[in-house]
Amino acid sequence: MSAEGSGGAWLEDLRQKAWEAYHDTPEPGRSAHLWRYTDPGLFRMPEQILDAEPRPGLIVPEGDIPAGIEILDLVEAAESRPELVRDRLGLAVRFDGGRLEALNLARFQHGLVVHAPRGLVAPSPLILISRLGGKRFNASRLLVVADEDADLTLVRSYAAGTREGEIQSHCAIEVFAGPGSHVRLIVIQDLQPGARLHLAQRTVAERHARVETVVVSLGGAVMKANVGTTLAGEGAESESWGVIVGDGTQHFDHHTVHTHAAAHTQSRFNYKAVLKGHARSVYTGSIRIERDAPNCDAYQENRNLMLEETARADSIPELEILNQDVRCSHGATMGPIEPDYLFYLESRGISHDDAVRLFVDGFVTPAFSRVPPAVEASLRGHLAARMERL
Amino acid sequence: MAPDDAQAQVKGIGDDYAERYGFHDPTEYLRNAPRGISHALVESISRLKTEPEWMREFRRKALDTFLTKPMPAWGNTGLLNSIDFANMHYYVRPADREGRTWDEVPDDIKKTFDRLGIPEAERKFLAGVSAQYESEVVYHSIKEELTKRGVIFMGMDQGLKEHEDIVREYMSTVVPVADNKFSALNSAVWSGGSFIYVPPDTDVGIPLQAYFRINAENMGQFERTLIIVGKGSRVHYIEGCTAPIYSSDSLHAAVVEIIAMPGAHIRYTTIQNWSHNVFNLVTKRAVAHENAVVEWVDGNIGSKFTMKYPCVYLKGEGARGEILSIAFAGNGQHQDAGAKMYHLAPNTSSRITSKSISKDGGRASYRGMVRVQPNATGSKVGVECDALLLGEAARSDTYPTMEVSGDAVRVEHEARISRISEEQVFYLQSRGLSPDEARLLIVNGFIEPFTKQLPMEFAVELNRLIELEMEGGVG
Repeated sequence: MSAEGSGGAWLEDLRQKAWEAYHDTPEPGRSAHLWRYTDPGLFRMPEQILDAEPRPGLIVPEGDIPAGIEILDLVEAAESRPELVRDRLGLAVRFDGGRLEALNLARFQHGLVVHAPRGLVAPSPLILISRLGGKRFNASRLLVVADEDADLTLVRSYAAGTREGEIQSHCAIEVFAGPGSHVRLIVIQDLQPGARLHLAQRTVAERHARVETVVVSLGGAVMKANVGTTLAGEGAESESWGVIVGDGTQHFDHHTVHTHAAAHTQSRFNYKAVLKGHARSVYTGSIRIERDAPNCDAYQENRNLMLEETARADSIPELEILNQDVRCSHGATMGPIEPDYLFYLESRGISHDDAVRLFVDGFVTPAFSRVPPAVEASLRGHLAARMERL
Repeated sequence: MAPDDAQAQVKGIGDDYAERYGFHDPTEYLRNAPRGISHALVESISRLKTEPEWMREFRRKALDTFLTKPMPAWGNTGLLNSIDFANMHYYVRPADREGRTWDEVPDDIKKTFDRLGIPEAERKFLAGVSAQYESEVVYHSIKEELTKRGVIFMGMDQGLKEHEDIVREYMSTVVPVADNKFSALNSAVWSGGSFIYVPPDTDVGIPLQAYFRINAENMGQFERTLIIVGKGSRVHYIEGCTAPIYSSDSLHAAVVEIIAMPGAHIRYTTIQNWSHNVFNLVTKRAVAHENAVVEWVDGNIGSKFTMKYPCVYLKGEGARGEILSIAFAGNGQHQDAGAKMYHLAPNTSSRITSKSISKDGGRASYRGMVRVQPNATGSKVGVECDALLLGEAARSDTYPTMEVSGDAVRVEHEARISRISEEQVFYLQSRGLSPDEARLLIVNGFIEPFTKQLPMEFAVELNRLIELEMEGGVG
């Protein structure tokens, strides 16, 4: 702990600790639940690349910054606005939570703080895009703080860059949704072929906060995401949507953790994968209702649409319920489009391929309808292009 | 039926018992093996049973595997690691020979069986009762007509003696020794269990039943059951167990292997009611060939900690697997039960229905695995889990795993967890039931899909057990 008034020195200390944790934590084995389906070795990075002086990457706000929203550089804010950063940074995505989480905190090149002050209702969505430049390793960190009763929509897009080959992108997102706040967070991954992405995302929802998250996973070669929400305050609500579109040999591995730590909390969860070619989607995730969290309501759903016989889907939706005053259920499906649906559409004169496209479009609609219209249009366009050849 | 030299070793220690009853008082085991496991123990078990050389070697290798294999790193590792292997008995020999008729079974065992409703079952079916007392089969009767039809139903030790070729051909082909630490342990020290062979095109008609029972402190039971159902044949095997309360932990690690030949139909029904100090770590697995049907009906009421995931390998085209299970976890109990289905051939189908009740400090976990291989086109899987929570400290978990390849399969999984609704209780109370009666009725309704698959006597027995478990303030 650094002394009062020493500015951002505390951040240096924290990052040093994270760097040590990175070295002290062994690479997880495949027997570790979290890495059962994805080789942790895919996220190995030579020491000399990590040791090199980190050059800042770029996160660019697209369009106008909504009035009243503060955007700050994370490292600068550690010094100038410690009250905003210090009790939050690294407490949702913790460096002792995993080796790559530690790496991110130790070596993030570009960090951003987005702050919605008390009562602010952002008139438009904030869109943050990062394009991967020429570096083989890049790490970014985003800290979102929504004060009491604030209302904010944030789109975080990891867009394709130019460099080819096995680049790695390490992303951490921490969201603190204050009492009564309403936060919508849309994360879009559309990296170039060959790219690997590790995403660590955690949201803490306080009393009566409402958090909607959408994760749209489209690009790259390998994506490993660890996404979660803790409903920490009474009456908090969470809605989580996911869309995965895979073809070729793409590998997606999404792990989610939803913890109901307070009474009268509610969570809705729905991840959907559309899989072609040799693509594989892994979903593992849990809903946990803690002992002292009565009257919770939770639903978890994972659906996998297998459009080709070479596709593969794995699903482990888990429930851990420690309180009897609960309503909790989940469902998972894996299979092709129900032939009846296609028959219905075809009997109305729609070609088979168009019927499939229509079905897929409808399949992702519950998630896409949560995305701001301009962004949704581009996602629809992306999906249409991917579905052109069936 | 014990070997002659074993008889000889027994002579002089409990002579009069053997002559008068053919059976020994539970407190005076003659061959109570020392605690702990060693190669010497395994060798002496094999020697005592005058087993063939290959079985001795099988046990020896299995022990090596057990000693080197790590404890599972998943599940309730705290409880698993609390097992004190050095403080267990691995072999106890209570009887010198198997009982042939009901009259030969001693009164105290009859009394225990009586409470479980076996006499009715015996009267009803007059067939295939094979009761296991400690580590040996003590009572065994086979209806004559079954024998005439070529159906073999006997203790596993006897099976090894009389049908060595069949045992050697099939044993350990479904559950490899190294499958897990406890299957390795069982392979090293197994004793007792059932051996069933049903020849092709035979409908056994009446259920074959066996009862198992533990009755000594710190004693492990390691039954080995092998069931081979011939082409187009049909059989229902019923296993049930109960045990009195002891002061310290007991270990039960059985292995059950089933081979269902093409077109065969087997149902395996278990109601497990070990006393609340027993670790029940069981490997149950079946192979279903073309168009065969394997059904596991599995009830877990007792034990301190159960890990049991009945499994079907759907190996032949058109094979079907069904697992229907209930678990009741009262205070201090953890029922970690589930089901596994491996679809390895086209047009296979499976259904898993799991119901669990967690009461007070009890914890019930459903842990399942469904795998559909790329070539298993046209396969269908349905999984349904329902859980009821009763009381403040109850816990319920659902851990299903689904690994699916291909676009020509359909896998569906659903789980629901809830408590008994106040409205339902209120409705029943308004019809004159007490709150406890109302809850019992709701719980019985909840497990009814399971109960109605049981033979009538078992359904009655299960309802009686649930009633006992539900006694004493809920929620």
